[in-house]
Amino acid sequence: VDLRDEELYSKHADELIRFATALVGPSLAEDVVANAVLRSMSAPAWPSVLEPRAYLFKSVLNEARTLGRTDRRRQRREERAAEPESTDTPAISLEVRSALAQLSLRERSAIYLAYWHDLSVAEIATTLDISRRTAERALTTARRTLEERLS
Amino acid sequence: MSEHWSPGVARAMHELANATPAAPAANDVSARHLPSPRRPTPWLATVALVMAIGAVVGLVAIVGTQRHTAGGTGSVHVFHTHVETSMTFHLDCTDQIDNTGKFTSTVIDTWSDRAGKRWKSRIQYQDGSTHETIYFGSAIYPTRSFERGTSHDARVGCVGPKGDDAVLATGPGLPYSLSITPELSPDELPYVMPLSKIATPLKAPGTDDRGRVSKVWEVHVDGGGMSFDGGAELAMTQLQQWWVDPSDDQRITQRRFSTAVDTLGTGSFTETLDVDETIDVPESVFSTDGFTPLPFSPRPSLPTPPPSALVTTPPTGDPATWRLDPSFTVTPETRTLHVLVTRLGCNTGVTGVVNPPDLSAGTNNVRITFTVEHSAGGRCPGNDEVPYTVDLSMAVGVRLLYDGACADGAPAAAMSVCTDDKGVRWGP
Repeated sequence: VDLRDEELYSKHADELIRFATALVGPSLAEDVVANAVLRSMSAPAWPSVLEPRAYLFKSVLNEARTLGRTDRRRQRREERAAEPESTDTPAISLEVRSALAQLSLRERSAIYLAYWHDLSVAEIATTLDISRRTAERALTTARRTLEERLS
Repeated sequence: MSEHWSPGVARAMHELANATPAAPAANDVSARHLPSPRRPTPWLATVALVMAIGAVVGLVAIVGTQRHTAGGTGSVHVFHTHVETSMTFHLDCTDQIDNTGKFTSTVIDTWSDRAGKRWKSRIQYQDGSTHETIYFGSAIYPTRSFERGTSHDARVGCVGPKGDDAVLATGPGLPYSLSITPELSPDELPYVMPLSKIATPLKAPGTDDRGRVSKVWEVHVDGGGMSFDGGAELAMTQLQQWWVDPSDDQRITQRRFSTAVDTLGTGSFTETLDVDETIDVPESVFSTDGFTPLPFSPRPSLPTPPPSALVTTPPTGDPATWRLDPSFTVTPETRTLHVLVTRLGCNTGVTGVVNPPDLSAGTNNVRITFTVEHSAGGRCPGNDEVPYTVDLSMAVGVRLLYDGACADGAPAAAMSVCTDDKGVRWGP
């Protein structure tokens, strides 16, 4: 039993599920986190990872991207068919879901990390493994989109 | 980094946080197979399977004794602040409030877990004693709250012959935050005004007590009176100042609240930010072991009046805007407002006859829209202000008082009289 993995899961499970909820919504967040954790801890490079928290965040983002590609068509079909009250994410209003749908996963990641984790642009760039300029652009776009659609 | 977020961003983030499910249990993870498109190659899959089983066995062991991080041995990402507070005063009265065992300077630490909706504040006094609170659910209207220790905040002021206290400066109390607005959910924002809505920025930059160059915001309350010990009202002046980091216009590094009362003296309370950082702290920071539950205080709300009680039909007339008479103080109990009405259009400096206003009350605001008797117009110096008394027929409560002339599309919406404060003339 790898104690490091035990501690890491214990330490980061809650924040990873929150992050995943921001990316893919509550109904898919558990799947994304479970797959990401399992995939990370199964990776050959895992024992040599120096920043496991950042690695897990990136892994959740990658998992959300994979899920997004395979799930997008099904989701659109369901959204068309579903009545508002039959949605499986009642705590998120349709207006907010619609606004979030305008954001890319990178933009959702950036705004989530800035809002809930108070990360600077440089820290967001490090966490998501992207350039500072890209992180700044993602954050600006996400802010502007949510402000315009929800304020 | 404490940042100001628009209501739209805050709403989206909070709805997401509210909808967040519990993290998957370890046995759920163990039962899972990786999706086929990215399944590892066979040799890697074997290695992965062995490692995954090992990891999952470990996870099951953890979760058996500890549900995620709630058991107290994990860590949590928080926004931490460290603030020093002090009071200065000069009292002219002979009988002063007894502050034996109280302190005029303190050190305050706060930890905000916004995603987990938990807030902790700790005041440390000069004798080493502490007073702590932990709030859950909301920083302003918690669903559960706990306290440990006792407040030893001094209350600086005078005692009258009949035993009444006139307080000129006091400690911050708990929960504490130098800049609480970023902590709030959108539906709390109408109740707690951001700095930009209540204060005026000074043109020249200043420096705070740590020598940091700052943008300074001020609110002057002049002309009020303090009722003291049943005697005549004493003239009172209050000044609230904020020093804000000019690089982002949001991060408050110092706040000072000063009061001067005629014949009694002056007092001020200053809080200065020394540390603000995002850090990992042990989950035990939010443990309520040894704390006493505080009584639940429901979020304040006012009964909604029947619409007819507060809605009148506005007469036709020319548009006008209004502000509160500066000599008049509004409190949540106020039922009658004293306002100054100004005609918007050019009329050679004359506002003229003010029509009864249109009033509409909602849960979060009371909208008051004035018109004045029609005029053919005139030259364009600023028009005079006409006093008018508005009978609300109910208490203002914790709602904003809003000038209807500033509503979207209304005549004054784009004018400075509306853009400076968004038409909000008062807030609790």
